[in-house]
Amino acid sequence: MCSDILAAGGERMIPSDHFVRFYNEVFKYIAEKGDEEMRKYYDRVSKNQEYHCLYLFKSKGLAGMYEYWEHIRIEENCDMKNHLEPDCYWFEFFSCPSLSKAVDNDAGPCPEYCNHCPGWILPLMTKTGFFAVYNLISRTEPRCQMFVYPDKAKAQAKFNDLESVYGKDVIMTNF
Amino acid sequence: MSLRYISTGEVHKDFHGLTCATLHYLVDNYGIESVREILRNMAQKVYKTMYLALKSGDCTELAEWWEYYLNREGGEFSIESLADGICLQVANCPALRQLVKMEQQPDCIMCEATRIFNEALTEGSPFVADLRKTGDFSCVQTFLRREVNA
Repeated sequence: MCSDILAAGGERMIPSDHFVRFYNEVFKYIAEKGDEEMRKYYDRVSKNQEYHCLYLFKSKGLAGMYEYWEHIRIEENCDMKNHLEPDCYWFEFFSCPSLSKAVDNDAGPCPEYCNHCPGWILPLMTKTGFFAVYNLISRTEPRCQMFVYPDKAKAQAKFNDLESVYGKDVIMTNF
Repeated sequence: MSLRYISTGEVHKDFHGLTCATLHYLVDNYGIESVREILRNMAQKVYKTMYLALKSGDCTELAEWWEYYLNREGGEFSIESLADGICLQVANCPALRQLVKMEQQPDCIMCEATRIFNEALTEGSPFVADLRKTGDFSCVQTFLRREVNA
């Protein structure tokens, strides 16, 4: 395919720091095509993330999730906290750098920007046999939470608790 | 420094892998025009200040952007101001190196995206963007004034 479209090559890139704003424009483009198209793109992102997460989550379970998001916390300069408990892994973002960059943007943020995180994470949780509850809190504030359990009943109970406080629109699950 | 966006702290280079996957996804599902539309929006709306500066004939922000982010990503490069524009020589591209580190090919779709992005940056400006590969991980890029380039 590349040989067909590559008229001339160059190798300066979209800096990784700026990927968020590229992603944001991709979301705007695909969102206009409808929810099903967004879901298909999230599935592709999720497939890409398997390289980083699938073996780790399968082999180490909740501890593997802690390990992955600790790496993300450091490398993506996140104001967040990871928690590992015997029956649950959970994180809370106090200030998400991703949405913050999308908002600090002369092109403006995609209103559905936050959906991409549960969009790629939830399919991975299903593939690794875990039950996740993602609480976006608000799509205009750079805060969110995610709770992951091996036990579906515990995940359902967390969903019920969060839904009663935050409402159905911002809570997403893979069950 | 006149950069609109400044990033500090750690660098998450894994994003280059998802950029590459996303470019392929767009081409495969919506055609190359989708990439052109998105990268035009990137060049002219996200990087609005750099685009407007180039339209007015000023390469300063572009040069600072190259310098700042290629340094941040650990690239090997040099930037030269020319009488009729500016030249970037990349000796070792950090994006393509990161793809290899993640067991992917140094995918040419990244280069194609760069070419499209550069062309969008020069739309309506006195400059013409040119890209020339000089090796698997190296290239020379120029933004030269149209009347000299013609």
